[in-house]
Amino acid sequence: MKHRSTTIPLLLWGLLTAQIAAAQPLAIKAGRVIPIAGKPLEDGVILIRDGKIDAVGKGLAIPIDAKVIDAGGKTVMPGFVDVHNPSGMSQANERNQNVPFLSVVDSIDPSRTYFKESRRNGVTTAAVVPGNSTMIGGQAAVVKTAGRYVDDMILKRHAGLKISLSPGSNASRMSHLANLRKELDKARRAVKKEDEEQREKKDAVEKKNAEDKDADQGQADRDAGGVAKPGASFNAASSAEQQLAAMKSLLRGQMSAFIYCQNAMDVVQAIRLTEQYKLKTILVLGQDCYRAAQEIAASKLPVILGETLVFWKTDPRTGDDEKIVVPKIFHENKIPLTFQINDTSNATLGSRYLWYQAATAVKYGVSVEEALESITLRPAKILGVDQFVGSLEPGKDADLVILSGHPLKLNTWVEKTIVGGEVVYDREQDQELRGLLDPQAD
Amino acid sequence: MKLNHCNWWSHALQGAAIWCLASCVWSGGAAGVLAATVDAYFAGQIWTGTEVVLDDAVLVVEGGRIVEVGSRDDVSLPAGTRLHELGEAVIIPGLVVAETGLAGGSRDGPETIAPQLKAIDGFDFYADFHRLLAGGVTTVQISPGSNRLMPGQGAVVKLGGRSIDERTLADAESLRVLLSSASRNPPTIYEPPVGAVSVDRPLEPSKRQLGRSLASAVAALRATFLAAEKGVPAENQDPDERLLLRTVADYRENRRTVRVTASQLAEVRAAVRVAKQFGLRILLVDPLQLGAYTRYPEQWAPMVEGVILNASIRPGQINNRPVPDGRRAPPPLPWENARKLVDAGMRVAIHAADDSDVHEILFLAGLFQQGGLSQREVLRMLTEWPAELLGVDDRVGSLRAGKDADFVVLSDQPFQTRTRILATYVSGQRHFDRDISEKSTLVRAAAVYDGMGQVIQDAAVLVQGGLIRGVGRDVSAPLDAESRQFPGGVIVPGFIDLHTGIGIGGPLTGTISVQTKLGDQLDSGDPAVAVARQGGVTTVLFGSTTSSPTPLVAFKLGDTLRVLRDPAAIRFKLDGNLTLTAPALKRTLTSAKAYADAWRRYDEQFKAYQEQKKAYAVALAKYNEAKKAAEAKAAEKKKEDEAAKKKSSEAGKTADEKPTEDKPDRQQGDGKPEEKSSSSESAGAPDAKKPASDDAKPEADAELKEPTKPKEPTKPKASSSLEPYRALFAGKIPALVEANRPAELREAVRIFRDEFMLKLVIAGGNDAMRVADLLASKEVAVATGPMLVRTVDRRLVNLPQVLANRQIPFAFQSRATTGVSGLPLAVTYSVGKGLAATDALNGLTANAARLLSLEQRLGQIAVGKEADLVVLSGPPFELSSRVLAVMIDGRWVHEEEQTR
Repeated sequence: MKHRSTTIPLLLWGLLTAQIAAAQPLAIKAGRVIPIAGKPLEDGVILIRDGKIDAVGKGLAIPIDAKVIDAGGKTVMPGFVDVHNPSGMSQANERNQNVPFLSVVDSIDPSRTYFKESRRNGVTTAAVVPGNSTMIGGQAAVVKTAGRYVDDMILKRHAGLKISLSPGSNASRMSHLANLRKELDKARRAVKKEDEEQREKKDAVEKKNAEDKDADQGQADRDAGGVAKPGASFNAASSAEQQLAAMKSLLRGQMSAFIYCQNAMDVVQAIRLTEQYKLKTILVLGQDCYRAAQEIAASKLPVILGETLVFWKTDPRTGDDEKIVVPKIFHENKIPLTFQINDTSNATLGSRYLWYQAATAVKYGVSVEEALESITLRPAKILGVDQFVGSLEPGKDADLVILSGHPLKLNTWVEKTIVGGEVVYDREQDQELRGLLDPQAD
Repeated sequence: MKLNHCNWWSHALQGAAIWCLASCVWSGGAAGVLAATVDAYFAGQIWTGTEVVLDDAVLVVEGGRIVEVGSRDDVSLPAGTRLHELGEAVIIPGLVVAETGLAGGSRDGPETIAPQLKAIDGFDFYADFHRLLAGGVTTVQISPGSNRLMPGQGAVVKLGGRSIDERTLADAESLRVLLSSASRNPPTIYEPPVGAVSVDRPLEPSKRQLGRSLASAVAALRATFLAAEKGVPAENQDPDERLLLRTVADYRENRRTVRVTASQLAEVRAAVRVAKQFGLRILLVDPLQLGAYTRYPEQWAPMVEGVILNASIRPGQINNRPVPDGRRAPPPLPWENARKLVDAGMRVAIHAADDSDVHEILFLAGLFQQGGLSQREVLRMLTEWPAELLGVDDRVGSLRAGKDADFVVLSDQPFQTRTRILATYVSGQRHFDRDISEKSTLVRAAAVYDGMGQVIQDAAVLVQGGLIRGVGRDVSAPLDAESRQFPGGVIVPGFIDLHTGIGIGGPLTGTISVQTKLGDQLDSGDPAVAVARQGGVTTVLFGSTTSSPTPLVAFKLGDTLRVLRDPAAIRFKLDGNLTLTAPALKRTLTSAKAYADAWRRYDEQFKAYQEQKKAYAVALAKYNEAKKAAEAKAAEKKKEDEAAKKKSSEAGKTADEKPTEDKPDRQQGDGKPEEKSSSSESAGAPDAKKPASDDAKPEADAELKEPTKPKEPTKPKASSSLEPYRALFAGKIPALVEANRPAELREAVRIFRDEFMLKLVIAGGNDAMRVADLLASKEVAVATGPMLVRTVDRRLVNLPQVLANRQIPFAFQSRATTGVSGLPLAVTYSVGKGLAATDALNGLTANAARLLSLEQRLGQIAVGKEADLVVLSGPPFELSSRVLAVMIDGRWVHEEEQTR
């Protein structure tokens, strides 16, 4: 329960600085509630206490001291979850290609526009993952999009290790994969050695207990165990050990692997690596990977689609243009979808919004329910944070978004975004948006 | 090409045994399901890749594997087998290329010795190998890098097949070593360690690598194998080194193939020595100079499994061979080496000099026939031998029962210049077909309206090579026809618009003279074209709307605009003050007619002249012959006369003897000139002629008049500005006369129909209902539009309907640009106001084509017509009907975006 340890300071901080807000319960009266877990409710009420959802239902008694947000005629649903995005950091990748010991937590900047834009677009949870131009690119973290300091935002510190199968511009795929295997093999040997030592030690202890040796000796043995001592200064040994530690937890299945596949051929390698090293793999797919849809479907691994969902491809032989609709292909292969967004300048406008990606999937045959799940609960499950976020259920974090209408419609606005029971975005207070849409107002 | 009977019979027997077993199993099980997967390919000849060549044979394939190969008569096929008759074609095994760089081999890692790298990691199974398959290549070896001493391990993959596992024949086939000069430039390695630099962890200098000369390369190779021989380091040692040595040791101890690239004699020698020292089994690649090795195979044969020769020549390119310098012999040609190696009992394979030539390997291999190698030996170098050398001969390399069904269909014997590859099959699936451009499409819909008033329910249209090849409920179609289903859809012929302003990417301004070839101005990039065809319009006329005579070009709205006829019509305009315009028009037509008539007369005269010329040639021949005969006769007569004179003078002396001798004498004398003439003319003729000339001499004299040579008629003066009128006056193209008011219409009929007797189509014809009797009686057609329904004198007039009821043929014109797509909608409105849908469709399709004299090609859905189809979501001219797809000349040019 790493989450506990990080949220307690958050709560303490919250209590000290905003005592009233934390103590006062919040009630949202919604025209329509889409809880994702369960059927949508008309005229429902959501009760929030201490930053957690207390109850969701119809005709609930609203406590007398509760602050009430009247969202009549509006739609309330869980905040969106951005499942893979390097934009929360100041720089997506290290120049060194093999840096499993690095964590994005050290690079997250809460004041980045990415977080502000996320709140404006209803995204309340984001997985900050190192970029794709790397080999072993460091550890991802799942954060809330609201907070003043990084530590306040963290939901899951060790969310996974980023691995990319696409070699740099001049390198060969063969050496890239050989190097990757070498690192994985090294870690596997270390794991094996550690397991053997543990077993020997256990055997030794049992033996000693049986022989009834005195306890002091046993204690000394235990201290001499091969685990790195905390507080060691940063030297060669410690960085190598940290590097190994991250890889070991990857191989022990304590951490998942975000494996980036640029081409369809990489998918096959990713699946092979997964089987060979028993990894907990999440496939991060490039545009071209739709061609390996059957292999992906057979592997049953969770996938994150690239931000370009519909594109034209020219047949090199006939010159015929073919329209490739990625979500349609994956849906037909019965692969559950999740989406990436991209806020870089060369992205199309639509692919900057999670709801737009989901709406595109609906356009090509995915049901609305599934599409909504693919931007809330499903990414939360993939990231392993579904006990906290992703749906509106009692006990989960009060991260939700109030929309002016149907979530997948173009003319729907995010009215309010709420994270941990606090309003972190309010369209009425959004001066930037107002300035953009109605410059004459002021 | 003799059959090796013993071998073949044992095969056939084995096959038959398997067959019996198999058919027993089938008869017990679900025969129908299983039987459907059996394919039999009948060919004129099957080269199994081994010694056997079967004539008139069949290859039986099931589930991607070969079940049986045998003579046509000896193989019994289960019921339900799909039969493929390939005629005289020749089947050979799929080609195996023993070395390629298809795994991205030019990108090497930095290390000189990196045996742990695997080529299979760099191979893209999803890449498009169409070009290679089209060249008959089905299996390739893929090499790791090509610029390091030991760049890694190769692999063997198939270029097609159902799954990646099935396509991977060997993921670690051989350990590659390059002793040639390509590997002698290793980079220096600089690898800073992870973490901060400190006194304890200084920056280490960059690492230099061995192998800048052959000596150091061989030394490095020896050191590596020696280290591996000593044993792999213990677990706790450097893991990198361990992995490296473990790989090398595996190849050495298990005597797995080490592939050594060595071209110069010194390199070859080094390779053989290293192999001898460490007991390696090597594959020698690219040897250029073999020196004495070919003469003493026992010196190296134990170490060398086989040789892979570089074709050295790039197809279609010229390469310079070294200048002979007298001291050194030029390197032998690859086929010379091949001949010697094969004679020495070595297995030989061929690879292309460059990866971009792999698809031409059949051509390159054909060159090896120059070395005196037989077709069969060359084929072995591309099939059986490489498969054995790569260790994949259990799957590929020959056509035998149990092997993968990888085969190539050739039009003729292999290794002949003109032999084409017709198809390539990998694991029983066809991967290439030369007829790809001739691919046919079967379009099926709920109904087909043929444009002539007939409706076929639940029918299909077969389109092949841009033409309609079948229409009906049940249409014959090739097996591989692409099928398009439009449930509930309706197929109608492509619509024709008799006047538009699209095709040149902008407006057509100014006066266009009648000789202008508008077809040359057409711009396929005109965006209005794509919009226009969305409405279902496939053919249009294009031209100006000025009042002076102007040409109209007919073209199709395909992706490239295709001109049908230029000009397809000449457009005139009758409006304004008729007392002025009509005489002016008449003047133009009169001079045009004079011109056209002059040319018509010339044409007639010329035709007559040609016939006369022919007759003259015959007459002249007759004359010459008769002349010769006459001359001969004259000469004879002279002789006779002389003889007679003589006779008369000698009559007293020998009067009794002469008559008997006279006859043969005369015959001889006659024979000589006759023979001469009969050699140039037909025999027998002189015989026939002779009596005639003998009997009726005066007549013959009359015949002997020399025939007069016919005079060639003089050509009229050509005038480009009047040239287009010739087609008009010949009735090949219509005159499209814009006339609206009754007076204009009457004048148009009077001038064009009555006076000049042209094919007249009234354009516009707003008041045509007022002169309907005249138009009907003179059988004048009308191209109505753009306004079809108007209110005249407070009454609604639906002109097409009026024309239809008066039996006046009509078509439609939009005179629009992007609005061309709205023409069917305008007609729909007319249908809503009383026009029959059948008449409307007729006017948009078949009638329009007839008015343009293009009915042989367009306007109907019938066999032989051009494939311009419009698929509607419902019956034509229903408000709810949308255009689902448009096909022009057999190609889909517009499809409704599937939004929902």
